[in-house]
Amino acid sequence: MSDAPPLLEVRDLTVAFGDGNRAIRAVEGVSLTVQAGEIHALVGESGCGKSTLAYALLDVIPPPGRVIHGDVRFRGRSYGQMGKTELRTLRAAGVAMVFQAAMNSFNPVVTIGHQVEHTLEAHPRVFPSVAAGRAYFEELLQRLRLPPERIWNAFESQLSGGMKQRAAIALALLLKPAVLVLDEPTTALDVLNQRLVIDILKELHASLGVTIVFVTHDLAVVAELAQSVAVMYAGRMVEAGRVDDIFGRGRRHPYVAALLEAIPSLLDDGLQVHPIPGQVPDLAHLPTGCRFAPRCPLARQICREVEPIGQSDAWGHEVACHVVNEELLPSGGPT
Amino acid sequence: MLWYVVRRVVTAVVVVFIVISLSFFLVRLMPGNAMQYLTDQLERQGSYTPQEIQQKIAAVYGILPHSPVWKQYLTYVGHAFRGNLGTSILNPGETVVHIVGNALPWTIFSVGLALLISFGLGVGIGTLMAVFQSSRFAKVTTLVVSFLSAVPNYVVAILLIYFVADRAGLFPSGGAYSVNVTPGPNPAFIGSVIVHAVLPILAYVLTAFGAWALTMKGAAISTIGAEYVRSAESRGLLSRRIAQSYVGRNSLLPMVTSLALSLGYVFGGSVFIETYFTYPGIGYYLIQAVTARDYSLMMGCFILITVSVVVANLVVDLFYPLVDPRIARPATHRGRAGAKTEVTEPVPVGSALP
Amino acid sequence: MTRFFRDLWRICRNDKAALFGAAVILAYLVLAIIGRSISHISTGVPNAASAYLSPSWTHPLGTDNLGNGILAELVVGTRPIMEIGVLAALITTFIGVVVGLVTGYVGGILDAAVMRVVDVFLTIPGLPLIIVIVSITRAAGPLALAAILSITAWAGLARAVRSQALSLRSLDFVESARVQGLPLRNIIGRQLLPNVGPYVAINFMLAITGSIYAEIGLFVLGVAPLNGTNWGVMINLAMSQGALYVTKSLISLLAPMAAIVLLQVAFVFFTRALDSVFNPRLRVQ
Repeated sequence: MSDAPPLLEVRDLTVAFGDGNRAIRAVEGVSLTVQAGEIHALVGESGCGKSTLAYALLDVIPPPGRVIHGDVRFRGRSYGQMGKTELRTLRAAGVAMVFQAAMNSFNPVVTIGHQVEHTLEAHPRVFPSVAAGRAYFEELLQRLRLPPERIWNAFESQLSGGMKQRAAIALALLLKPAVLVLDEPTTALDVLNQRLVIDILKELHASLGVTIVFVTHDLAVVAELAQSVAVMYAGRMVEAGRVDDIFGRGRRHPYVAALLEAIPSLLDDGLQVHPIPGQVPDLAHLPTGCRFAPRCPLARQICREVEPIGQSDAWGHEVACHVVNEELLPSGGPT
Repeated sequence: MLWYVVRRVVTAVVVVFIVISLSFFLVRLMPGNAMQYLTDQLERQGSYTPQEIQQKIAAVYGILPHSPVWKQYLTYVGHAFRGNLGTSILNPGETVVHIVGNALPWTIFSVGLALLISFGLGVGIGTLMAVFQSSRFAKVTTLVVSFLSAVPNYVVAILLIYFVADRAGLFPSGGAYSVNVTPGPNPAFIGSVIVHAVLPILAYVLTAFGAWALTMKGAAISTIGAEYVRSAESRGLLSRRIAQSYVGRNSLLPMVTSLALSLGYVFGGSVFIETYFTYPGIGYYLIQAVTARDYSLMMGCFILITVSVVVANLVVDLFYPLVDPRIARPATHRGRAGAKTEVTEPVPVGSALP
Repeated sequence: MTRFFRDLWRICRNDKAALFGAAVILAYLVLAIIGRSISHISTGVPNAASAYLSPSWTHPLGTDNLGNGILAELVVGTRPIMEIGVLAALITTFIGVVVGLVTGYVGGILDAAVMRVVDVFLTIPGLPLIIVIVSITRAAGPLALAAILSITAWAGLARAVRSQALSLRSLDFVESARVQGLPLRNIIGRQLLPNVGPYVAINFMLAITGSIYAEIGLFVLGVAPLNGTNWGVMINLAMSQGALYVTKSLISLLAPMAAIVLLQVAFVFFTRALDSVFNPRLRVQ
């Protein structure tokens, strides 16, 4: 462990939407660390808060959401303490984001090229000239297997979904950010484009060394692409650790176990589907105690009363479950 | 792009042609036939020979009454396109074109200015309402603006005349300029023109700016929440740039479309306002002609109003690709089913009916 | 259906303006129907003694130049105005919806041809055309007037409904209806119509306001024949008798104007509530 602060650190973050006591906490008490150079996945079902967490990584939570507790730090500097200009400069140059499906990420009445120029104009110190910026952008386009001239002069309505997604990735990488955050990069794409994007991301990670954080609900993509993963459920982080640990080792949050169980196996005779019974809780009416308890096969009395806290084992694999963490005390003990 | 222009121009010409034909049809072929009416009237006067009556009719309507209908039609259309719309019964000896030609600039001046002011006010207030969405200001303004948009413009005109012109004497209640002033590019004349235009323009603006403001508010709210705006913010774009090229341009799209659609309504409204303020515009003469049964003047006014609307529409249509470049280059991929904007369907500013 | 009324009631309760609007519209409707029987107008010889009286118990708004109670005239005048207004709105809405749905769904050459026609109707300025036609044909009956009033108004609605039909056309339930071979009438009536229903209902209300504006305008200017009592005629007579300059008769001018404004404002407020019911998105302030 080096002394330098981690690239991105989320500390006990709570993000709420709405006012007063009817506020909905999309993210509650989440802590997360992203080290430089790794590929980190945020996993969960729809509505679990993973997208909101992703937005928090570069402070673009859509109103009426706002951070009511904790903070996010980039290289040790907390967003809450940054001035407006520092925040603005940080976005895209420090942490960049590619929105889900990129369907509506581009201004419909301005060419892609002009939008690139807008980005360059807002961050004049990154490139010595607009021409230099454009040249780098076109190089990125080529890496993403897109035709540079056609993209530059096109309007977003002239591009297919897959092309828009890749163009959005190129635009995100334009200012050479340290971190690239992608919200569901493969979800809206057909299988071929999914393959393409996964391969491209691997390539970019290898050649540019950019740290990647991506949000997904597809465990297969996580297994293939990610090195670290954090699993969220109903606003809480229930498990975090290296991908190998989570997929491989036995110690697992029951939700993650159920997710893995739910994937039908090609090797089974006939199709056996094991869905998780029940439904995701309504964030406005959360159960007391562990949020997964109503659906958990291992649930005990304590689970329905007290919310579990994440505890790590010696390998840095953190799980928030009373039952699973039992084995950590008294002998193991939290790290 | 070329195809777009051609289509617009062709539609414009077709409309003008239809209107001229309609005018012929109404004047000549409808029951209560205007020409027959005039013929009867002249006959009753008893001082004209049948030939003289024919000539008079021909002069007024540009049609020879006893030639076959199709020939009359062609003559009429031919005359119309060459700028001959007959003579006025109300003002004998003056050609319709002359009267209407003098009247049109006044209407264009007052209506144009009113439209610009309403549009500008609407954009400004609408944007404020969108930015401060849940504030008291927005709620109160919405109520006030809804109220104003429901009041008919003739009611406002009468009230303005009563309270401002007659009781308070602040502004003149009629005419385009004072009788004491000689027309021409001199300051006294220009000043008088402006003073006389204030109330008519006010009458129009008060009832119209509300709808503009509400349209702008809707458009701005949609745009501000749009993902490409958040995407732009996530790239750290300058606020000024976002306001101008991302929020601004996209909010204006439905506004400009509404502008095109409301041009017709605006000329319609001028009918009331010009009548009450005795403002010698084309709407005023239309009503004068109606009251006096001066059909040739009436049709002339109608044709010219339509031509003005058509031309104005054409201008806005040609200007539209500047605001929305996608019109010129149709989408090759179906992102939004070829819709012009992401925002809700633009509503013509004005009422559902003229 | 009940859910609709429940939503509507909830919105009305929260939005005072909408409640006000609904109440006023209802009141006017009632007056339109029973007005004649509770109010009496004499059209006989002008009675100079009872002309332009100040408001009193018998005549809460005073009298006009013929000695008729102004309030009575307002009440009696409600019916022709609403009759023509609603009739015109019905015609406009009917034609607009049918044309829009059919061309939007069927598409093809029919669509292209009809849309050109709609374009033409949209460009011709409506009110001048109406003025011209009414003046030449001397139309007087409510049906004739209503028909003329809707002569260009249907076009805008047709365009809007058509684009809705276009987007509905590709939805699964419409596809399945088509594949099942259901007749066009059924597809239009049972599948498409209910989905554009809310939009059409709101436009119907707006069409009423528009046609009331236009028809009263016709009466006010003297373009439409001045028979019978209605608010537009009252304004016309008041203006021609110089009501602006004679304080005594001012109320005969202001009263009908107030009646008009009240109704129009009520419609606007009420349609805003309707809009919120159908577009929940707009409710979040």
